[in-house]
This record gives sequence, structure tokens and C-alpha cells, in this order.
Amino acid sequence: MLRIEMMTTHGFFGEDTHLSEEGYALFVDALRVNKVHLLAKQVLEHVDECEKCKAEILETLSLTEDESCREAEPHPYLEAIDNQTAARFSIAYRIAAIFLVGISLGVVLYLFGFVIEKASDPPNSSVSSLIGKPSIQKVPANNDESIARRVLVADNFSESPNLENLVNSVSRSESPFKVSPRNNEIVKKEILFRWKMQGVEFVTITILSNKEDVLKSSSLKRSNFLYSEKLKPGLYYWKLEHKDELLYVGKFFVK
Amino acid sequence: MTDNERDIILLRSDPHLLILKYQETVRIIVKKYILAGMFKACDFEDIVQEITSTLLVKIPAMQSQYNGMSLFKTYFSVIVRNICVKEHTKYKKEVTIEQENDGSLIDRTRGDEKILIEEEARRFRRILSLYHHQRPKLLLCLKLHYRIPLTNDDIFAWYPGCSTQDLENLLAHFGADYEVVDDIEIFKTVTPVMNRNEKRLNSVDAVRKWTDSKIHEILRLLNGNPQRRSHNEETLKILIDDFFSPFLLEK
Repeated sequence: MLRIEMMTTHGFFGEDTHLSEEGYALFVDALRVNKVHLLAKQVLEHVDECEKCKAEILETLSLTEDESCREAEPHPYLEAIDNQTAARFSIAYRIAAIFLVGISLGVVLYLFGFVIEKASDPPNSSVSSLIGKPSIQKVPANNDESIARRVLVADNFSESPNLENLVNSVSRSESPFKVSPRNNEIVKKEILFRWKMQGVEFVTITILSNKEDVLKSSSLKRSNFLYSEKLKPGLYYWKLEHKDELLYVGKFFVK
Repeated sequence: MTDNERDIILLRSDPHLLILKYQETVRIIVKKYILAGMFKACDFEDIVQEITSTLLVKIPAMQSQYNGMSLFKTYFSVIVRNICVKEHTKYKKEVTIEQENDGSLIDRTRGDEKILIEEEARRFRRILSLYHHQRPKLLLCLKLHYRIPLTNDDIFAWYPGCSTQDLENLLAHFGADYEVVDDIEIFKTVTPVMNRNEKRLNSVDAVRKWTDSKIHEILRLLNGNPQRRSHNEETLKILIDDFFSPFLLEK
């Protein structure tokens, strides 16, 4: 069986560095079917520069120009190269098409994801700034007003870092004494603050919001205080002081 | 099975039968070389016999060298041609082609001027098709040499990355009639652009010499080996004009 070598220069050149007899024949075949571009690059470059090979090819072409019957048959070498090239282009085009589809899909998914993320984001930045502690979670909302309201409410329950520390530290350090409301108690409308402390004639009671805003401050000789002003739902703190000494810090919730 | 595949099988199995099969091809080629003046008509049968004997001796070489990349019939024609050239060298008998005093290409053995010119035009196109990478530059230089106006397509085929400035400059100089411009002026304008395209530093003289060498190469190819024609730069201009304006010769 004859071995056909594709896309190589083996067999195209003779020992004298010019084209071999088969090289000339192949070039003539390629010229007759307009497929010179399929020939090996080295062959084209050599013929480009070599007058002797051009002359040989030209003479052979003129001798065989009457023989058109063979052009209808598939050429053993040129057809194979042409099919190989077509297959390579086909594969290349397919890969390019897949790549293009992949990129387009990626862009569409990115844009789609961006649209969804935009829809779930808070409507403006000022609302998000009301959220103090990280522990307060964003509440998913159906609409912008609901989101804002929920964020504001949640913010009223956020803890004050300074007062929280005092709540824990003072309650640990002091000897037990009875107070009301107890820490974390949920209170309703009117709040009756009570305490029992030995060796203290008068105290100053201060009621604060969770933002450390002073809502009420009174100095008392008695050991109770009624606070009847309406408080919005939220977390609040109260502290008892005697002169400059902090006696107690408590916290309660209003709902 | 194609004819070529049958030939390949015969080459391996019965090469003598293959040589007999291609006797008609041998006769056609010898007749063409007799017409071309390589052999005398009276030596036709002797030449055919000689060539056939040589082919029989060359069978082993053909069997080892032919690897099926070309059509066997074309390969066979190359072998026969090479044998004819060697035989011609041995005999050294020529018939000169008569020429008219005006240097036209009339071959009295053919007797049909129009057919001859068409054949020469076809031969010239074939020669140009043998130039692959050099072809765009060659066509541009041929146009310049023969003062044929350049077009955008000529320039971009040769220099795809040609700047607008270079394009406008070339078209301003050579886009219309420039018969009176001499070669040196032409190549002084073209050479810098050519160097930008080829990323070289050719001199004006080098480019002009390259053009001249290619024109002489084309003339030698047109005239054949062994020489059977007497083309010169004037007849080449006719062929070049026909190439760039295919209907010119019909006027």
C-alpha cells in the first residue's frame, strides 16, 4: 500500500534541493484544480524563489493541459488535505461557537443576578446606617416602607455597648439587692422602678434609651419611681447613682 | 475504483502494461516537442521508441520514487518530459520559429494569430500563478514598470496595513497617468513604503533591480526551456495590459 504523507515535504524535494519529479507533478495537479494554497509552505516558498522549478512546472503544465478527464476524479493528496483543513476549520468554528455561547450565557446570568441583588438591596443608604449592632439582622421585606419600618424597630432594640458592660459589671460587683424591673424584663405602659439599698439616703435615677439618650433623671430620697411617659417599643436602660458613684445599671424592654 | 488507483496498482503489479497503456501520452508529448522544434517530424517514431525503452528501464525507479501524492498521469508526463529533454540534448535538432519583422509572435506552423495570443496570455497567467508570496509585490512592480495606474486594491493586496497617508501619497503619484515619470522617481516614492511593509531597509536601486530581475525571469519563462518563443519587454507589455484589462486584446 502506498503511504500518503499529509502536510509534509517528504517526497516533494529531490537530492538537488529542487522539487522532485513527483513534486512537479503535484504542483501541476494543484494548479489545474486551483488548490495551490493547499501545498506545503516549503514547496510554495521554494517555487516562489526558484526559476528552474517554475520552468519545469510550466512545461509540464503545457504538456498536460489537454488532459482534463482526470480533474473529475478526487485527487489522492489534495482532496485529503482539503478535507482535513475543512474539518479543522469546522472544529475551530464549533469551539468558537461554544465559547461564544458560554460567554453570552455568563453575561446573561451575571446581569440577571445583578438585577436580583439590586431588588433585594435596601432602598437607600440612610436606612442601613440606623442599624447599630451586627447582631441585628436585616429583615427581608416586601416593599421599601416595610423594610424601613422594620429596620427602625430593630434598631430600637439594639444594645448600647457602654451600658451593656455596665449592666454586667455592676450587677456582678454589687451585693445583691432587690430591684424592679429586673434585667431584660418586658414592661408595659407605666413603669414602677423600685430598689432596696442599704446605707444610701438619696439616689439619682436616670432612664436612658439604647442610644444613651437621657429620657428622665431624678434625684430621690425614696426607693421607688413611677415613670408614666409612653415609651416606644425598644430596649431601655436605667441607672441609680449616689453622688458620683454608680450604684446600679439595669435594662428592660418595652413592647 | 478511480483511474488513478488502477494506475497505481498496475505500477506495482504489471508496469509493462502500464507503459503500454500510456503510449498515447508519450506520442502526444513527442508531437508537442516536434511542434516546438525540439525534434524533427521525421524522427517521431524513433523518438517514441527511444522514450519507451527508457521508460522500461526506469520502472524500478518509478516504483520506488512515486508515492501517490500526485496523479500518476501527471507524474508520468514529468518523466516523459525529462526523457525528451535528454533526448533533445542528444540530438540537438531545432526548428526555428519564423518571426515577423515587427517582432510579433506569429508562429507560421499554427496560422492563427488570435489563438496564439490567447495561448500566450494564458501562459503568462500561469506564470503569475507560480508566484505565491511575491505575487502582490510583483504585480505592483509590473504596473509601476509599465506605467499602469495603481488602484486601492493593488496597494492593499501588497500592503494590507498601508496607512492612509502612504495610500494617498501612492495614489497621488501613481493613481493616474504617470507616463512621464522616470523609474528612479517612481522607486524613490515606493521604496520607503515598501520598506515599511517588509520591515527592511532596501535601497531604491535594490527595488528597481528586483523588478528588472523579475521581468527578465518572466520573459525567460514565457520563452520556454528549450526556448520556443521570442518574447521581449514590448510583447510582455501587451500581455500585462491584457492581464489587468482582460478585454483589451478583443478591441
